[in-house]
Amino acid sequence: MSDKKILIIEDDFALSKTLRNVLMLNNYQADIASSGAEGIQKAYEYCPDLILCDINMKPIDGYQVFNILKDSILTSRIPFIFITGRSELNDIRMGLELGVDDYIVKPFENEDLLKSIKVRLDKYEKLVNIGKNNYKALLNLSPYGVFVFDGETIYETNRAFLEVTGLSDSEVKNTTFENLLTPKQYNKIEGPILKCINGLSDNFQEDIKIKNADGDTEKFRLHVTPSQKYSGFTLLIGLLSPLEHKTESTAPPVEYKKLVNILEEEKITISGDLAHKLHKAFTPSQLKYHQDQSDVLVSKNIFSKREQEVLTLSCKGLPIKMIADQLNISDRTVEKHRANLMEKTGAKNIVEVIIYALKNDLVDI
Amino acid sequence: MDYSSPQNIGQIISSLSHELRTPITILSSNLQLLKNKHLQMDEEMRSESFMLCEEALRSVTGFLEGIHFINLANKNEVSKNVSAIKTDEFIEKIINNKSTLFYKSDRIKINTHSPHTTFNSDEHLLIMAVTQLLDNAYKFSAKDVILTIFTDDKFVNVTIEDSGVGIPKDKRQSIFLPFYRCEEVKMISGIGLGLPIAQKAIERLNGTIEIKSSLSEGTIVEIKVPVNE
Repeated sequence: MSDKKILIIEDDFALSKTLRNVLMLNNYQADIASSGAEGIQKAYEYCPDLILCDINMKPIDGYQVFNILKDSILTSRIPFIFITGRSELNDIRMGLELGVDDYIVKPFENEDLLKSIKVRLDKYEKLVNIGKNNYKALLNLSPYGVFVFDGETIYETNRAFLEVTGLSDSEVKNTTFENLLTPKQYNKIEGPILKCINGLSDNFQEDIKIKNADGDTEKFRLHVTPSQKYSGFTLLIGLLSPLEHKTESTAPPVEYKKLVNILEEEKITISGDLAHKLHKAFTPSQLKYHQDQSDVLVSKNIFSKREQEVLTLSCKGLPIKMIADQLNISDRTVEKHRANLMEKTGAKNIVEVIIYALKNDLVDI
Repeated sequence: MDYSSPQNIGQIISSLSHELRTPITILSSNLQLLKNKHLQMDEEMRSESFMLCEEALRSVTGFLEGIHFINLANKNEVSKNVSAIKTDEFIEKIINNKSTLFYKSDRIKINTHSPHTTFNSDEHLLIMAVTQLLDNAYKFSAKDVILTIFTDDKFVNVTIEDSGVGIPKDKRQSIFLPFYRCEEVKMISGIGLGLPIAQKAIERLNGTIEIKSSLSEGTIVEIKVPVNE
C-alpha cells in the first residue's frame, strides 16, 4: 500500500517542519502549507488523505479553511484534524459541530497525534469502501451509461455503458473516450472537458452521437462533472442519457395523476381496450438496452401468485365480485390482495395499481 | 489599553499562552523523536531536529527576556553599561543576529556615512532597540527597509525607514503599550512587545524616539541618543 499523504497547514514553519518529521518517520508523506490560503490551494492540488490544520492563523484561520474545503466535492470528505493552542471547551465543541474529525491540543504526545491520524484514516477508508460498494450496486442498476474517465482513458463503467457501446470490460480499457466518437463530435466536447479537468467548470452537457453496439451512431446527451483528484490528475464522471426519450419522460406524471383522479371520481374501471391504450400512453421510458427483466425496479416476483392473478384480472377491468368468482375466492380475499398490491406499489387506490402495472409492464394483457 | 479590563487581561493571557505553546510543542515533539526514533533519523533530520529545539528554546527565552526587561524598566531598574562602540561592528552584530526575522534578508539596506567611527553608549540596550525596530519594519513591509546610522559629537542617530502599511494617527500613542496590536495588522503574527521594548531601552539611554508615518506609504522611526554620557 502506498504511503498516505498528509497536508500540514500551519503558519509556524518550525512547527510544521517538526510535524513533517514526525509523520515521515512514521511512514506518511507530508506536505507543508504555511498559510490558510496556501493550504486550500494545496488541498485541491494534491488531494491529501488527511489534513492537519492550525486554528490560529491569519488572515484565513483554520475554521475558514475547514469551511471552504467542506464546500467542495473534491475536498469535503478529507478527514480534518485541528491542532490548536486553545483548549477552551467551547471552541472544541464548535469545531465538532462543524464536523471536524478531531482536535489535538498543543503540546501533545507524538503517539497521540499518530493514533488520532490512524483512526481517522482507517475510518475514512472503511467509509470509502462501503460507499464504493453501494455506489457500484447503484450504478449497475442505472439504465444510463455511466463512466469514469480522465478525458481520454476510461477507468470504470457501469453495465449500461457497456451495453450502449457494445464493448467488453477489457475493450473499454484499451480504448479512449475519443475513439467512441467521430472526430467532429469529439471537437465539440474537447474544450468543456479540459475546463472540467482544470477546475474551471463544474459540469457541462452536450448532445453527442456515439457509435453503439450495432455499429450505428446513436444520439445521447452527455453530462460530465469532475469527480476526484487522483495522483495529480482529475477524474471526470460522464453520464449518457438517450435523447429520443427525453421529452416524453417529463410529461406523464401530471397527466397520470389527473387521469387517476378522474377515473376514481367517476368510479370507472378500465376495460381491456382502454387498458391497452393506457398501456401505450404510459410506457414511454422502456429503454431499449434495458431488456433484462431483473432490472425492472419492481419485478414481477414481488407479488404472490394470487396477487398477480388479482392484478391481471383487475387490469382487464373486472369488478371485485367477478374476480372472486373466477378465482374461487371470497370478495374479502380479493380486497385483501388488492390492499397488498397497493401497499407493494405505493399506490393509493386500485386504479393507480393498474396504471403502475401497465407502466411497468407487470401484466400481460 | 486598559489593563484592568477583564477582556484585555484575557486577551493578554490567551496571547501569552499561544506564544508559549507553540515553541513548547516544538520542543516536546522533537525531544520525543530524538528519544524514540533516533535510529530511524538520518544525520540531516537529526541535526534539523536539534536545531528546531534550539530555535524553540531561543524564542521562549527571548519572549521571557522581553517581558522581564519591560518589567525592570517599569521599576526603573535597568542597568546601563557605557562603553566605546565601533559603528561597523555595531551594525554587524545587529545584522548577524540569528533570532531576528530579517536575518540574512536582502531587503535590509545599510546606509552609514562613517562606518569607522566610535561612539559611547550601552551597546546591549541600543542593539536591542534597533533590532526590535528593524524587525517591525521588516515585518510590516514587503519592500526594502533602510537602516541609516550616523554619529556626530553629541548624538548617534539611527533611522529606520520602511515602505509598509504605516501607523494610523490615533494609534501613535497606544503602540508603545505592551501587548497592544493595531487592528490593521492583526493578520500579521506578533505579540506586541517590540515597540515597548525599544522605547524603554531608548528612554534608559536618555534618547528620543520619533515616529513619522503615513498610511500605506510607510514609516520612518528616528532614534537620537546622546553619546557623551
